[in-house]
Amino acid sequence: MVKVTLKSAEGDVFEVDEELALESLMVKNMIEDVGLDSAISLPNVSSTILAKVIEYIKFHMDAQKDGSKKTSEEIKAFDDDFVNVGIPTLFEMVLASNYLNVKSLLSLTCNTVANMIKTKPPAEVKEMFTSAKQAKA
Amino acid sequence: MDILVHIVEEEVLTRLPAVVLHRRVRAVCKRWRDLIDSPRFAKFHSAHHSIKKQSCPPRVLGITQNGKELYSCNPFVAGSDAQKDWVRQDVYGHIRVVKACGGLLFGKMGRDYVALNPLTRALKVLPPPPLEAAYISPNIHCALVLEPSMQRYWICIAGDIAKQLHVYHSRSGVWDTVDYLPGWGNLKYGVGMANSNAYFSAEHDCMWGILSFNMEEMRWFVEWSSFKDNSPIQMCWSIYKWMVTTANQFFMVAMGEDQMTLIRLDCASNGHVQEAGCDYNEKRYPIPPICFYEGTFMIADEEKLYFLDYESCTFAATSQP
Repeated sequence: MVKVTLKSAEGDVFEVDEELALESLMVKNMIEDVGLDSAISLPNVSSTILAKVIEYIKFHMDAQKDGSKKTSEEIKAFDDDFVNVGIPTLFEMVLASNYLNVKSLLSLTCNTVANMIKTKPPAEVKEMFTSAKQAKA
Repeated sequence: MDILVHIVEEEVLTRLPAVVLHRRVRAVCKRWRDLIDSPRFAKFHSAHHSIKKQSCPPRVLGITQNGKELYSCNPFVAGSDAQKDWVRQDVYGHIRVVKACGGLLFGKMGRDYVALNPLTRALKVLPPPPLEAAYISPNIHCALVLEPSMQRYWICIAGDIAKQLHVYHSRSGVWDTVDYLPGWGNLKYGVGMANSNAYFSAEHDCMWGILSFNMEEMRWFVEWSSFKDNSPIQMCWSIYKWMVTTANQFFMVAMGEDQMTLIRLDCASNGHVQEAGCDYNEKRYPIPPICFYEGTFMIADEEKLYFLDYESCTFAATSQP
């Protein structure tokens, strides 16, 4: 199995299967452009977020394989648990899945944000985004 | 941060239903208010929602007994009637609902005509329409029309004696009068859609057809027409059990000896195309069907509701509350 080396913003190195790395269209394009020899650096993704993204892709790849015993309830439970994080982390995951171009994760995280907006009063929604802005600044 | 704002605007806001956008999200900040009000966003939003067929069918507001009672239910849940969860909406007991379109209702409260939104509970009493006194009867032929972004609505009432259509616009707040398309008359069974169009069935000498009236361009159009005796099915004697879908397709329901047939009125050839049929031998007289949401029709008779999906030709029945 061919391995791909991914380098996070902090410089931590993650070695993953090529099959898994190709789930990210951005990494896929990078591999096509520069080949597999050098590490692919992802300056916009922190180590913690990159580890989470890899965990997510791995789980879903295993679930899709033939002979996988995971039921749709189990997958849903994993997804629910996966996005059950603080708002700053959730926003970072939105940004990372957009940057890495992982469609399924982007749609999962965006749906979570959409549900938050749906249930919160406007003032709290505003608060949610201003605090994210301050944290970043 | 700018990227996050951009993603949220493009990906997150388009996922939200229009109701949430207009009631909550619009109030968050000026930037979002302007975004939601922009025609570009409205187009984007409606495109996103029409491509994706809803995986979870919406709850439905049903009107029974001449519009005197309003119920909400989830008719697509399989199982007993209890699971379909009929809930009576008592708030509107004093309003007789005449038409519904895109979540907005048009009805009569005493002698007044009212437009109301069941979600916001906003109610507006309209100025009296310029109709002949004899016309203010329970059986007015009217249509409630929404513009695609659902921010404005029109109500039109067909005045057959003077051959004029009376149009009320929510923004101008007054009734306007427009002449019928020359030659056509007997406008009945109006249906309004959220595309600025009102549809009426109409007659012209020995022909019948379906006319549309575009509210923004104030223009009539003959969508479909045929000679009255051209119908392929004997029992297809009446055009009045017809409906229009969001994809601008026209259907009618024909009652046979022991079955109900769905017939598509083909606008290109002005012909009838038989689409789907189902057993029906209840010997009751069904009322005109309603297009529910993409592809599903509701047909009601005195005791039961029938749901017909023309794409998959599936059929379901439930008793009324």
